[in-house]
Amino acid sequence: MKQLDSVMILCGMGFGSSFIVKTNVEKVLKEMGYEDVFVEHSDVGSAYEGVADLLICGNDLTESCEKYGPVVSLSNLFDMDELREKLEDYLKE
Amino acid sequence: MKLSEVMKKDHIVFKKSVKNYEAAIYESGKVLIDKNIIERKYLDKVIDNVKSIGPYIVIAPMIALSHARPEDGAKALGMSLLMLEEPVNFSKEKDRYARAIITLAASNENEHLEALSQMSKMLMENMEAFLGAKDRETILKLIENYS
Repeated sequence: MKQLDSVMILCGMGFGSSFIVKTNVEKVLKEMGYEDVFVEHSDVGSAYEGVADLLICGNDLTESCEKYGPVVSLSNLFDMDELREKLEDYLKE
Repeated sequence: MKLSEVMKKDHIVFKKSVKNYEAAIYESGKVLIDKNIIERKYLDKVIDNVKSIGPYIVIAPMIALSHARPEDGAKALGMSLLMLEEPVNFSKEKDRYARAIITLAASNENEHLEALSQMSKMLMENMEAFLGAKDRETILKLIENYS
């Protein structure tokens, strides 16, 4: 499993959907045994290269996020299974 | 403030269809303008954002979270909901259909978080029942269970 110290969740405004995902990401990471990951959320405009080890966003922001680091993008922000699968996929590589 | 205090009964509107996603955004948020919770320009800003950033407000299949930022014309905390029978597409290039358009407004960075996490939990656990709702009472019951 990959090392993971920080995750940034990005949405258009940094105000609504990124917050929804934050709680889920914290929960899934803990289940996967990642205890001390720094998870924060913000708007895509405030991101920069290296802002976090991993970026998570909705699938309409993938292209905007990819220039800042590895991206996991989600088609359904309420789907814990999609989040878990994609995080596992990213972390096992 | 909990979800049921923020998404009030008269903030929920059912409609068969709308002509386009812009109309969906206005019709979902109209009640918040009428109640002086947002200014009209707040909804204009949501539309500008969709045009420049993309249909990212469609946060799950059939669910749109229409919101801008506090400084864009939100005067207080409020949520409203437009439930459409016929989905409307928020994109010209992709399939980004929504039937439930939730408008969210908050006058600062934090006041909406309690209601938003309650709504998120409600949707995570009851997506089918929520999208299948035919009347306000069904939605209100779901909201009450998570508030």
